[in-house]
Amino acid sequence: MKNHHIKKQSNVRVLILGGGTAGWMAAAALSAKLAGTGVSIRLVESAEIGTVGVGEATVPHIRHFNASLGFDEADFMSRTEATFKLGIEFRDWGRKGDAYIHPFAAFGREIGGVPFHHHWTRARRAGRVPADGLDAVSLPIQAARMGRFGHPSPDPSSFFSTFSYAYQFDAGLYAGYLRAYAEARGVVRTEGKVQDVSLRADGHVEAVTLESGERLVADLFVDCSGFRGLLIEGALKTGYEDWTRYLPCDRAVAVPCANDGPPAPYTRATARDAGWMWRIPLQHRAGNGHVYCSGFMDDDAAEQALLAQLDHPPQAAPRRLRFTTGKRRRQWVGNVVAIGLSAGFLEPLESTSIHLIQLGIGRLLDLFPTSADMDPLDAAEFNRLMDLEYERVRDFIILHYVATQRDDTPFWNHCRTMAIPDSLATKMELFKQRGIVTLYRDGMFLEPSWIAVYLGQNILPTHVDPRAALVSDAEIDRLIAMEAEHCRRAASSMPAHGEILSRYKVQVTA
Amino acid sequence: MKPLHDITVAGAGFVGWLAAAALARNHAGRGGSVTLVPLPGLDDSLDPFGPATALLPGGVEGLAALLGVTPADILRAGDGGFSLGTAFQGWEGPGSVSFLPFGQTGADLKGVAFHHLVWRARAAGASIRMTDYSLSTLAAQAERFALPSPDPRSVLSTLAPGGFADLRGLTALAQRQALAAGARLATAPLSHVRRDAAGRVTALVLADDTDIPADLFIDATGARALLAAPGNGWHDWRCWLPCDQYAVEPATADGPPPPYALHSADATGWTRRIPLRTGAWVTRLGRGAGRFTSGRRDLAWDANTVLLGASACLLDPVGGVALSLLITTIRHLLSHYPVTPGSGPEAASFNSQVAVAMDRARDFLILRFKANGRTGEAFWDAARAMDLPDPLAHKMALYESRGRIPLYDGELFDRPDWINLLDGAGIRARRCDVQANGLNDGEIMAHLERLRGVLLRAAGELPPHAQALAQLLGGTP
Repeated sequence: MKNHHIKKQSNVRVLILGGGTAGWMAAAALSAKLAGTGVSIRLVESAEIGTVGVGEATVPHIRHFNASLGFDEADFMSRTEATFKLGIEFRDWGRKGDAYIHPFAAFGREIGGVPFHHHWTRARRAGRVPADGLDAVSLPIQAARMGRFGHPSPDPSSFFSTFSYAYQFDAGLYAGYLRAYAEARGVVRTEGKVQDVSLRADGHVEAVTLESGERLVADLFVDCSGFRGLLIEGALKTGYEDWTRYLPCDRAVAVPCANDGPPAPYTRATARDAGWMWRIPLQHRAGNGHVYCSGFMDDDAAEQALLAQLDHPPQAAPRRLRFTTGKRRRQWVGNVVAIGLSAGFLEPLESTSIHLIQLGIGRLLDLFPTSADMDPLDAAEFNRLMDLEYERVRDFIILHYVATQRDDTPFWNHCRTMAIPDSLATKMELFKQRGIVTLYRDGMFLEPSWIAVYLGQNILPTHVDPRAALVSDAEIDRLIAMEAEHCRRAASSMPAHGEILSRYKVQVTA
Repeated sequence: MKPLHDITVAGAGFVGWLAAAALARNHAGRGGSVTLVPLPGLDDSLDPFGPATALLPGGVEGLAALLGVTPADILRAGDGGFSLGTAFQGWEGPGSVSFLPFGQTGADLKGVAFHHLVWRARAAGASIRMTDYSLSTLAAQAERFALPSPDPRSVLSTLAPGGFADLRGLTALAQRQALAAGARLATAPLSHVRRDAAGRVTALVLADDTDIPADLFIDATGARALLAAPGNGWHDWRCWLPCDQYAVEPATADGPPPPYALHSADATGWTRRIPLRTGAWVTRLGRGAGRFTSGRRDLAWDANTVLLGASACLLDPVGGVALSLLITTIRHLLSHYPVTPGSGPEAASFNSQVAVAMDRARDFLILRFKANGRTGEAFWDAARAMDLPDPLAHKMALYESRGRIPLYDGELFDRPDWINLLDGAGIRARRCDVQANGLNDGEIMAHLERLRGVLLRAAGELPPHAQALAQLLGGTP
């Protein structure tokens, strides 16, 4: 065969607008995956425009993202002050005083062809296990409670292969880490603020003009400009689907402080009078924030409430944010693809912000334009997939608010009784009556996550799989006790989280 | 609350006995009853296309799990062998031959999907048949076989065999398992169905005037769907699946059974040949007589009645999906088994999952007809010209545009199945994945050559299908 050296070249010029987490994740991934294709990538950012540092906690998929870029875990963690994350602890959600952890793992094992949670529900209804008894049958929850961490085993027959993990990191440092990576792979960074956007006759974006007067022409624009959506909304007037009727929180205030002891290997989300507070332990500090609904609490009260519960004095002035939960009507319009906050906003209750960015980038790569001429089908497929993801994440987050028995504040009375999307109402009804979790293909939260929140917030199914009754109570009790003992022993054998982190530090310095 | 103990199954054919066995094994242990009411006549409860049937990958194991037997028991009872895919003769034009394998085809290179590599190689002048990079295809051609390896590093892990079976043998096996689990057969055949004023089934009335009431009724009466409420209509899919007549005849085996089915197109329809260990069955499908109507029931679970098999969905056998869909449906029924009378949220969930599985399976079959290459023949010209249902139209458009197959909830077939079918039919994308541009032709060619070498070597080392079967079934080839 002749011409073996020949490569096809695609001369698509990409302009990424915005250099926050979304912008630099996009730049890094595109520069890695499109290396050698002829695609050129430029990123415009302004040091004057701050980035929104929400989403410091992640879900396990981030590990695939990092691995696909070839990141070394110890190096990445050291440079982003990262800690390991085994799950999220939800405090005071079902009722005040409740606490459960949503881990990256399933609870227990199938018994007699019936999922574990059916057997557990029977045992719970009969009072044979305590309300928080699910904790005992989860290895990662046990480890989290003990402040321990160990890597899962790649051997599927090992008990240590039954969980996954994510990270908690400084999103600003992560963006910087990605920037170095992207610039080393040819991404051109331009400092500047966009002053004007010019459109072509067909309505596509032709160029952006910076305050410096520089005019940047491109074929594909990736809008990572944050809430404003400079291109997708500012220039193209795409419109926004407002979901505040389902998720009423619209403000947040964030402040860092020192960790209280060694960093915990999990994120904490505590329900409050008019919203909830996060605590994300990094290596060097803890990120804290208060997400609240302005209709039920004013900004000063929210800030006071946040400051009042810090483990240590604040390390910076509190930062206030406003947002409207929802999704851009279409996230890919013409030659503009919105990724990150310009595409939509869902509160960081389940650490989904970075994951939704990652999904957007992945789908953009799958459907990447093959030439400067856009095929509208690519946009249609992108929008179909992203709509499914956003809607399914939205439903899962709403679940935390409606699956509550709290009636101690007007906010919780509102949430407990508000109308919810049919898609969620159907799922909840099926679980409440019969313990069945609705399964789907596109949508990041799988059966174990739904079970963790349902049961963690006291939604105990009225009926379970009738086949569960074919196994005797004594046998179920024995299996539950055995599983708990496995989990306890396995968790106890893991090193302390702080110890693993310091080992990683040494590895990087050496 | 009184548990829903008593199940009555209308139809003691394959579907009835399979459902009875699965339900009795899982539910009768709590003191309930499963009663089958026989119907006179041939068993067409799964489909009317003859006693032989095909199983997609996972089907042999799925059936074994429902019945509480081993996969070898299924092949033994069903007089069947394994299947590595389907050979299509004449579908891309008279004289054409293509093979649609089960399992994986090819391997990605640096994140670029295999079919894009093939298209690049063709653009560089190579003449390549995509499915030649499937171990299933190579093994099928040589009539060799091995069970897949669970080790993902082994090339044998790319295999995903299905199988074939004589439904009469499977029916006998299911009957044994059902009776052993406590199901019983009514002493007289069905006379008629008793309903209340709302049309809801209240009892099956036998020829000897006995009433058999139940908490839950199963309709396993085939396309007649004797228990279906009049308002529970049939979605007629003949606009997409053109065949509506069939003829079945037995054939003699010419040697050991090949590990694939043969689907041969002719000017006015097509013919299926399913190999069994001791013979074969040939079914000819065409258009005209109106002997069956491809489609599905609006509600597979309606009030106190669940419809299974052809009473819920009947499809042209070109996809070999009937039994796999039935297994999926029964699994959903077991996990959604009602605990309160009537149709609660379980029924709604069951219906939506079963309906999408049937609709997406249908789409694959439609594509087989749509993507034909026989011109100048009215039957095939019409199939090529037909409009597609929306989800399939989007799938096809995205594939033709850039070689991507979107997958929806409930898909029975995976991306390689769709791509092999389309590429085998000569339908190519207008654009190639940009990420493939990062690779040069040399590395693509080297990758393909290396793959081909590995696959050919592996295929050469497999034992003959007959020998592998004999070893598994404990007999002589």
